[in-house]
Order: sequence, then structure tokens, then C-alpha cells
Amino acid sequence: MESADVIVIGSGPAGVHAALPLVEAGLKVMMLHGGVQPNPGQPTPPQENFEDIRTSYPEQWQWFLGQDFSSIPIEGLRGGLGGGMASGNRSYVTRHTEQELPIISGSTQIIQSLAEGGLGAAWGGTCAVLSKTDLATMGLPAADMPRWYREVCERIGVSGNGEGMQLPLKLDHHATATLLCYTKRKQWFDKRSISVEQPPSAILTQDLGTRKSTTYSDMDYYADPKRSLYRPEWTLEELRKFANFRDHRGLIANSFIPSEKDVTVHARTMEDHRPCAFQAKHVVLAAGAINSARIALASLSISAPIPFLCKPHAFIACLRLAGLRERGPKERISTCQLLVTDHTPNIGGMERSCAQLYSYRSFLLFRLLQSVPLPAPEALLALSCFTQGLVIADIRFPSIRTAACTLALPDPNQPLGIEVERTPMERQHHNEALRAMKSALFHLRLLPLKTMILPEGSTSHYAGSIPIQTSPQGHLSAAQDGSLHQVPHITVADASVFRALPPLPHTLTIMANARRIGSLLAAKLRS
Amino acid sequence: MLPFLTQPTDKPTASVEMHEAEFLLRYVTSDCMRWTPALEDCARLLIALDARGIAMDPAIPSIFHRFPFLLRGIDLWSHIFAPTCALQQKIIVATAIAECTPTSAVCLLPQQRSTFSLLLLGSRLACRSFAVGMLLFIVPIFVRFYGRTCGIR
Repeated sequence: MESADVIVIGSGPAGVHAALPLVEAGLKVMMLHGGVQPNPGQPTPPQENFEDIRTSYPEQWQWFLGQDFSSIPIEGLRGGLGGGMASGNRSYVTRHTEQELPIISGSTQIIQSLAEGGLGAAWGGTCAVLSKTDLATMGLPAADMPRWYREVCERIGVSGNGEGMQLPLKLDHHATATLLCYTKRKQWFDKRSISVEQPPSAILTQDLGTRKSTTYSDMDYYADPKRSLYRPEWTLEELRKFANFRDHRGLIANSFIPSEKDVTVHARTMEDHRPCAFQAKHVVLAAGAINSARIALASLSISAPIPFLCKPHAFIACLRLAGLRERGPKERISTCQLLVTDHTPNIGGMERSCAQLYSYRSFLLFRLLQSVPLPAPEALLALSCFTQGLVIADIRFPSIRTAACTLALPDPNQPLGIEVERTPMERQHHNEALRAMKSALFHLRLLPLKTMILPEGSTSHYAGSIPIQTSPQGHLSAAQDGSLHQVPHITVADASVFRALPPLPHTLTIMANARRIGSLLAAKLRS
Repeated sequence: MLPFLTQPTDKPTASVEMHEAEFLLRYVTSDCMRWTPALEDCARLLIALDARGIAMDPAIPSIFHRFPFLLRGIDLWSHIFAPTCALQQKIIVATAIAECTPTSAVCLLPQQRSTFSLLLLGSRLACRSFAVGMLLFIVPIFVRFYGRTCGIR
């Protein structure tokens, strides 16, 4: 049986950032992950601007729709991650999950990944340094976290106005005008505790090692040959350069069996479902909140449902009337431009809601066809006129653990059952938050046209299945250093440990917390 | 069966499908540009439909080939009442294929527009939408009858 000092399960944002300090401390680390790669034979677009590609290349459909046309949302707009950052040649990110990680979830749309880099391989790059209140509500050490944020920002390259960050990205014409409008009406927004700012972004504005700064080609959803947007794969490549690191691709971890001195991890191969086992002194669970819980439930034979967190979200399509006449700059980025945050204290003391504003262009018009109640030719004509003034507000709400949001594995050989229901109080909070956000958007001269409440789970933001607690509570819980209360030699490094989810983007916090947990574990094992 | 429902049976199936693909591509872009899709575009649409598991059958009745404006009624009706039906899926795939061509980029990419041209476009759109609405309002039986023949479930 192959052995190591530490086995890390998962290669997503948490897995790679937990593994890095362990490897740097000289420990022998083994990573088990799905490692699904980009579609074989998927051609890469030329390193040109979106507009130039659109007007010059007849073969552009391959880059925008994917060679298998999997990017066309025939199921409608409620396709969750079927679009967005997982479009075109990134559609591989969710491949094989239905067969390998089966779930029964009713109307909830759960998004999982077995890709190398996990869901981080389709990350939009929007970062946020969370407030002390948010961090404390999540169960994280608020006083320590700035250090870990800074270390991760420096490592992955984050542009913005914070400490250890590169210069901020250039804003496009919509964002510039919106920010100007906010400055003029700041008093109105201050009274309502609403702020508008450019968020930090994991996109380089200065070269970092072999990665190059962004060229503003607006091809962010489809290709990034210069690697300006951070992906966990880049850290995995760094890890592979260490002699004391080894990763096994194409594996699904099923369970762990701890003994007094070590832990045995049982897994299966994705190719032929052949069982295999690995041994280590310590195991780090970083397979995501759902799959880390699945492994823990199967290992400890827990059949009762456990609560988890699932961040609700909605989209509002807004029209900036002045933008209808402007063509806008050719050079720009497709990722989030501005962050509108409603700081009114809400459930758990967290922000009430937050909206990420995107300008609509490189995502193409056909994706919006179903949202226009007109025949296709008229809808396409309308979209071609109005999309240049279109700004999409992607709104997120906070989430706390309730008994109505649960994961259950009654039998380890059966699919994981997921139930997501919102309590009347939560629904009321969301409605109030949505109304306040619409009003804020209107005052930013962004006319809200249509609100789309997306199915539960479609944000792909899950957490809270193994929350941080000071003492063992419930079936699964972890200490603040990530160690599982219920059994020895197991540490949880992903979003499973968050007790609550604030509405702000939390991927940077996942990475910072994973680095913190990895560093603490490295120090513990070294001593 | 009414005479205009008869499909051209003297052509091989492949060419009937190509004809239908061309009709769909022209239909979805008819308001934005005058475009004769190339054979490759039609073939690509057929491949895309096949890849996404959407059957070309049932074919669009020939009356719509002769009077494409009438298809707008069925399109709008299915858009509202059966958004995941075969016809809507075909239309979305056709729009995606039509959009991903350099020809369409000229009219679909953002442009500098004057207030006058925006007003003109807006009124054109309003007139057309009104006409389609009237079509739906006046002949619901027509729409329902052809809705079934077009593959609306």
C-alpha cells in the first residue's frame, strides 16, 4: 500500500492551498483527485480580441459553443453553471460528476466537479476580503485571517486596492459611469449602508512568474493562454515540482479508516472502478463541502441527515440607458466589474446582499433568447440593440445552517440525498434584500428589467457540512484548526468548516483558510 | 391532410434536412440581416442538433417555408407555453450557430448608435411585435394546430 505523511483529497482551491505549506515544510504529501482534463482535441482560440475573432474567424463556433455544442443552453436559462465560466472549452469542469458522484436532489441544482482544479477551474476570479464580523460568524479566527489573505494574494496574484495586491484592473465604460453616479449620490447610498466598489480580482495586471498580465481581450469565458486569471491548476503545477509531492489522478475517495497511528483511505479508479487503498499519518479533506461530507458520512456510517449551507442567488438584467448609444471599448474584460454591497446587518450579522455587476457582450446573444418574450427574429433584433446597454447583476444572499438544508447518506452505496428548503424567515429576508438591491441599482441609473431567481444550489457555493465548533456538536464538526472532532488524524480544509456563508464572494477566503489549516497542520506534524 | 402540409418527397432525406436547416437559419436572422447561409452552416446546424439529441422530425410544415412570417406565431406561442419543446430547442441551436459566424458579427456586435436610429429600431420592433401579437390573437386555432405539427409537446 502506497503511503505518505499526509494525503490531501481534492485538487480544488482548498486542496492545493492546504497542500502547499505541507509540501514546503518537507512533508511527504500525496494528493488524490479526479483530475479531469480539458476536452481532448478542443482547439484553442487565437490570442486576439473578442471582436476581432467574431468578425474574422468562420471556425469561431468551436471556441464559443464547444466542439460538442455543449454550451448551447437548450434546457433554458436555468442551466446554472452550464453557462458562464464553464462555457465553451471549459465545459469539461462538470464532466463525469453525474455518474461518479451521484446525488438525489429534487429541484435543487447541485454543481460538482472532478476537474483538475475542481470548481476553481471555472472560477470568475472575483475576490473579497471579508469583514471581521463575517469571519467570526463563519467560525474563523478573525484576527489571524489578514495574514493568510495577504499570503494567498501574493501567491496567486490579485489585483485591487488591498494589501499585497497588484494594480487594479481597468474598468469598462458601464462600470466607470456607474461608479461616477455612485460618487454623485453617495449620501443616498450611505444612508442605506450600501457601497459600490471595484472588487479585487484574481487577474494579473503585472506579470507574475511565468504568468502574464491580462491583455483585456474579453475572451475570459473561453481562453486564457497567458494564464492571467488564477486557477488552482497553476498551484498544482508548482506542487508537482517538489520531490516530496505526488498526485494520483482519476481517483474518487470513498472513505477513510482511522487507527491509533495512521489512516487508510479507500478509493476507486474512475476508469474501471477498481478499488485501491492508501495510507498516511494524516488525511486532509478538501473535496468540497458536499464531497468531504460524503466521505466523512460513509466512513463514520452516519445515516442521519446533516445540515449544510447553500448560498441562494438571483440575476437581475439591468439596462443602462446611456449605454445604448455607446459601442464601448474593444479592450475590456468579461469578469465582474463592480461589487454593490448592502451592509445592513442581516441574518447572523452578515451583509444583507451583494451584487456583482457584469457588462454583457462576450457571452453572446443566443443565451438570452429565452428571456425575451418575442419570436426569435424579433428577440435577436431587440437583443442586438439592447445588450450593449445591458448590465447583469448577479445577486447573492447570506446563508446560515438550518434544519431544512440537509445532506444524507443512508447507505454508502446509494446516491447522496440533498434537500434545500428555505424557511419563511429566510424567504422574507431574501425578498427584502432583493427589493433594496433593485432600488440601489435604479439609483445607479441601472434600470432593472427582469429578475431571475435561480434554482437552489446553482451558485455552486456550498459549505457548512462539517462546521467549526469549540466542542463536538452534532454528527460532524471540526475544531478551529480544521481537525475533525469525531475521529483522530483527519483535518478538513475546505468550505465544509464555515458555519455560515456571507453574500460576498468567498473563494479567496477558502484559499486563505486552507493555507492557514495547512500551515497549522505542517507545524503540528513537524513538531 | 391539407395540400400545403405535404413535404417534398422527391428529394433525399439529407437534402430535405439541409433545406430545413437553411430555413431555420434564415428565419432566426431574418430581422437583423439578409443572409444566405452557406452549406457548411446548414451542415453544422444539423450536426449540432444531432449532438444535442434534438431530432429534425417533425419537420416544419411547408406553409411556413412559403410564408415564414406565420412561423412567428407558433414560435411565440411555444416560447410562452412550451419553452422546452423541440421547436424552441431547434430555434436556440439555430440562433447559436447563426450568431457564431463573421457575417452576423457585423450586425450583432455593439455599435455606435444615434438616438434617432435607436428610435427607428424600437418602432420597427414594436410594429413587428404588434403584428405577431395580432396573429396570435386572431388565429389561435391555426397556431394550436400547427403547434402540434411543429413538435410542440
